[in-house]
Amino acid sequence: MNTIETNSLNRSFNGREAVRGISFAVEEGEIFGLLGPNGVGKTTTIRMLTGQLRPTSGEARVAGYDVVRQRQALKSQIGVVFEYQNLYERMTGRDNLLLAARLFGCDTRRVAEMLEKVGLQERAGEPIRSYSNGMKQRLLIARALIHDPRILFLDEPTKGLDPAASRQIRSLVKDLARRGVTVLLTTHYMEEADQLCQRVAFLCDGRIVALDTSQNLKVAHGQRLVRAVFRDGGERTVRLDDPADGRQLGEWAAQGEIVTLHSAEATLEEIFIQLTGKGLAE
Amino acid sequence: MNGRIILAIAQKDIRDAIKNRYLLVGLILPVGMSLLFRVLFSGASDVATPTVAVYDPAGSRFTAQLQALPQINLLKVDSMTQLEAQVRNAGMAVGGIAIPPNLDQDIASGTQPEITVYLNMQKNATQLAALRQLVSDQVWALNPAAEPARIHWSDVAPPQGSSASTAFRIELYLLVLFLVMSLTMTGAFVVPLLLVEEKDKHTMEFLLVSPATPAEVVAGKAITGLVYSAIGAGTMLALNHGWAGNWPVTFLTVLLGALFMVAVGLLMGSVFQTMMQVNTWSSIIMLIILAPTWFTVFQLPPILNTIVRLIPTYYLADLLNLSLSNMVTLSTGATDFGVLLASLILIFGLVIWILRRQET
Repeated sequence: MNTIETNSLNRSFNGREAVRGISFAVEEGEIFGLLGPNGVGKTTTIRMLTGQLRPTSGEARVAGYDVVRQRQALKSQIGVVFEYQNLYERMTGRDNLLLAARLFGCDTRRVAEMLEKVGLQERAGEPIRSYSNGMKQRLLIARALIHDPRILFLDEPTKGLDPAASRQIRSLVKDLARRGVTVLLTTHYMEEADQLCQRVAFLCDGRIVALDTSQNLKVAHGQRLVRAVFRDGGERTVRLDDPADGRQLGEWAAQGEIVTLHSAEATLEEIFIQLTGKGLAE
Repeated sequence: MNGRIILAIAQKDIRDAIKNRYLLVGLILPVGMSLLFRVLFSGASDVATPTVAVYDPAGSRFTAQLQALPQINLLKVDSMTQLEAQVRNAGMAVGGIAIPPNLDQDIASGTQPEITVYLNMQKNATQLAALRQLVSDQVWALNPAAEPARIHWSDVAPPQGSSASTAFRIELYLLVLFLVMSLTMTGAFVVPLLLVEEKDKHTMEFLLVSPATPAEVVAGKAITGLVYSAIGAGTMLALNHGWAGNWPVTFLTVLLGALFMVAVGLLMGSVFQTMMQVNTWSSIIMLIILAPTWFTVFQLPPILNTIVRLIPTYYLADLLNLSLSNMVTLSTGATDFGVLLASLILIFGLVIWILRRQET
């Protein structure tokens, strides 16, 4: 069952088209990634899907609700983690969650539960300005989940975080998906998308240029290559689709000349560049 | 509108605002200044009920009528000399009324006797205007069908170098000035900052993906503004004998003033997007809003007088002056009250219109 469906979604700002005819569907419990560099329309898409921005044309349904006409009913079904860490800096972590609990009308006992879930119970009484970026990001996730939403939108969830904090966030996201929460995330870190997402959509200039599983994209747009490292320090790249190369690789292995074998398949980033002609850092 | 959501936002803001240095200064500054000036003018007299001297050798119905009024302290004197002394030399009375010996009989026979009212020009303009209105109203009350008596107004110029009642005037003037300043700081500075900070720090987006609607967010900010206005104005009135005078009218005026200023703040907060814009524009707007308060007790050139009367705060300050000096009547306060109420409705209407446009 699809929990997110978009059909020819468009959004213009002063005549400039930020999102152009985006159509996709996300299944319940799926982790879906919108990938692309800054300014390609990822955040605009999330803002339309969460009812913050009206599409110029097209339609979208999230959790069965029309994002324009049923915006208010949609709110209890979704949690949103924004690109910027928009917490109340002078308030404590606990008070930030208490406010969210009161707004959503949920049991305030959820606050302690969520703090424990994201490992912030010991720092809950401290003001947000004393938190590290990783702690703030975990608190943002806790805030987005306080009302137990069916769908979680994550806009660049690990942007600016150190590797350890990024790992914690990814682990939290995987755990949520295991519990049946649908996750739509935007990122320009392709490795992250590769690790987390069941399917990804490449966005370029407001359009989806490719949409599939990472594996299928790699097979469709990459080459099946293996890099062999020999005892003498030399390296050879072998094409698995070439029968002669395959036989040669078998012989080297039998003669014990190969020290290690490395997959040399294309990365998502390379496929993105191949498809769009643009890098992710642009 | 969901009360739970509005209260959650208001509660958050009320607690959070006092941790914000800018907001704290905005809230404390007028109260602090009022305290400072109170210390500086500690020898000044109270803003007590004004005294009106009356010389009525025959004891007319008119004097009995005046005596029953709570707005004034009636001081009966035994001679014209004493009456003049009260108005001119001692300077205690706002005015003095000389009543002819056969007032009641003359009114009954329709001969229109003349009542002379001496106005102490040392007193402030609002009090004098209120006294004029009050005497006219009471004379007409003697016979509403036809003008029962003529009133002769006589201005009593202050003696050279006298400052007998200056202290009283300054204290009332400063109380009104700081009251309006406190309401303005909270309304036109604190309230827009509360709204714009949410936009600036992107927390507004969090609020708007929660079940809160823009109208509920604005209502939460309005409650916060009203709570801080009540604390500021209440403290100031408590420290400056604000209960003297007509306190129910003072309370109503402060409430109206607070609502008006909060509406102005909400309008600013709806239009402005950044803290920088609020900081720049709120000073200018506050200067314009406060300007009439500085001039309520002064005689201004006609053109300035007209300009000042275009600003609703003029009517707020005037109503406060009247209620604090216990000179407010239906006829003196009705215009002020009406203009304030109309301005309040107009600005709230504008805010609601902007919100509806933003929601669609």
